[in-house]
Amino acid sequence: MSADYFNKLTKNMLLNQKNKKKSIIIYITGGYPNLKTTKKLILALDKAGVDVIEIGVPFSDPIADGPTIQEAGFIALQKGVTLGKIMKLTGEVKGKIKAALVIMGYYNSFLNFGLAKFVSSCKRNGIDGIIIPDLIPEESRIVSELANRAGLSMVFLVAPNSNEKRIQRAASLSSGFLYCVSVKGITGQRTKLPNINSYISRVRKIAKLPLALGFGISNKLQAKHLLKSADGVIIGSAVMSILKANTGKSAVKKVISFVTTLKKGI
Amino acid sequence: MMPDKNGYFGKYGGVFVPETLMPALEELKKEFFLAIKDKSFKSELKRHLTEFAGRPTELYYAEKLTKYLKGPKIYLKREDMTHTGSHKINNCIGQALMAVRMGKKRIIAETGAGQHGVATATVAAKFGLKCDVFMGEEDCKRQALNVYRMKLLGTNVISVSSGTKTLKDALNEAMRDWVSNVDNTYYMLGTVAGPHPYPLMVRHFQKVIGEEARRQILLKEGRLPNYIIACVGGGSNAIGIFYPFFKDNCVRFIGVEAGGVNMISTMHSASITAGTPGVLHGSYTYLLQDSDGQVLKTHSVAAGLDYPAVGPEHSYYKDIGRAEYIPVMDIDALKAYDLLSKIEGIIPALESSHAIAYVIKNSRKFKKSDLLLVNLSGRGDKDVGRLL
Repeated sequence: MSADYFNKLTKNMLLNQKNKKKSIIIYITGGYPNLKTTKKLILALDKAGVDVIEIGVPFSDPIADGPTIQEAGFIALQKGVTLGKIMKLTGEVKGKIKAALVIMGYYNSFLNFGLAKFVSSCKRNGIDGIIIPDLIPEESRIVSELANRAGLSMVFLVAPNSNEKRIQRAASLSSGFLYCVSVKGITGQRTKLPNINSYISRVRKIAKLPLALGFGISNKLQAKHLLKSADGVIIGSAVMSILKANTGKSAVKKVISFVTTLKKGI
Repeated sequence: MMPDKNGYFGKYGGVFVPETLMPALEELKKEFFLAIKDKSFKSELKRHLTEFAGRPTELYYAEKLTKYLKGPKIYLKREDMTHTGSHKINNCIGQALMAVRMGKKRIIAETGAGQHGVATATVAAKFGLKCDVFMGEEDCKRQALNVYRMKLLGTNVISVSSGTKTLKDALNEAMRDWVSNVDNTYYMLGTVAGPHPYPLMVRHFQKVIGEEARRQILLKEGRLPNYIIACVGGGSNAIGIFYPFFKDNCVRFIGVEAGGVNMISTMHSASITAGTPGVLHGSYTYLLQDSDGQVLKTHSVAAGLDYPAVGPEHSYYKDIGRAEYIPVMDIDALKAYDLLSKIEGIIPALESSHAIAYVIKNSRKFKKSDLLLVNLSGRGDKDVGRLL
């Protein structure tokens, strides 16, 4: 059932793979610092040639996230950002961008929204894939089936300590790409990342879909190095730090210049 | 009543965690099932519970309280008399043996009132394990004495300033630490919540309360109690005393939740009474959440009950009608704290005071011939400083 759906995510990723091009996936917290900026960012990131944009849904208890994304989510929540508002926003950019849109959030947000309503709402509002960091494949039956039927991709995570059986399970239910967590840990920039070569080649033996590495990647040198073995990189906290340090128009500009440098550097 | 192989009690429980924790949870599950069949593990557990924790604890006939209320006959299970002053030590000894068995050198834990933190720090000292305890900044302030005790026992107390700065955030931070240090670290969860196998494992180590109480009441009264009453935050003392009576259908369970200041706003932490099912900290269970699925800030005068979720087994008991869950307000818990101290010479923890308060408030509803078993889960010395 994997990789058969031709939504924008699977298309973009497969095309890159065919053209031996590495994929850039950028995470932003939806509604940080406000929804208007999120919309501007999506359009600008798309224009800058980002392959996939991952929109984070803020949650009160984000156990997989480090301080940077925690804080961004906290501020977004204080401003009244909700899953509904984020989907409305993605609906507004639907059809206007080449980049694929992936929604990333904790399971309770989607469960509370209603899983069937959530998936159909994703479909209607231009979202191509779903990442739920606290949902393991074994617990995902309902949402995986719903996504499958709607032609949306589920993207599961594997970790450096996942065994063959678990990698197999995650890969068989994922499409578009498989999210390879680079470290045992939470999100957030790190100055040093572990050697991932043997990990990625172990995953590649089992998973036949593109492999994207995320968690801890902060700059183009790290990205370049990791992309020697992976097909894509996911960068979140580094982008959120730039957003935090700058305001208004300059924030979006600084993010785009970071992404452009990154793209050139790899 | 065993959960299914995926850790579900009815529709509650399960495993909702980042993938990185799965190898650790699978290893823990495997080791736990081996350990509970292992004779030497069992005898070692029993030895430490006897020699170190001071078990069995007394089943005490609260004669003066009974006379004062002119109602049912009240027995107190004296978990307050254990080493470290609450039932938390039962679970900590069990899990410390698990950590040692699994070769882990470092343990981490979350704590609310600090009772689980102190019990964890105590077993860390006893078994020679390095220990970090996460505690909400708010709780560090309101339970300063327990912070001091943990430090004295050689534990590093990490004050958590994210989110609501209370127990739920301490748990978030502990889980983040565990994800990051999963190879050498054992996570000593303090209640019957969290991902499978924690609710089952913590119940296993706490059910000694109910097993003893069952024997003791049969010996003293020649019959089973009509009601068992225990306070419920995460719910470990309640499950510990309820579970061994699960099949005794004539014994009714009452879980007393923290009704806080009132039940109209969210100035309480009565997850079962006022919550809806959702996922927090690894399991599907009753949860205090807003219409968007965000977990709400809770309140209770008892830090150990100040938690927005509850163990999944309680959610199951609620749905099948095996237990009733009823909130008791701060003010009534404080009155019970005072009354039990004055007329029985026992200072109960503010958490346990909720269970006592339920009995005081409802004494007329019981028959005079009723036999009540109340779990006095901890002692109130820790609360004295705050109430001065």
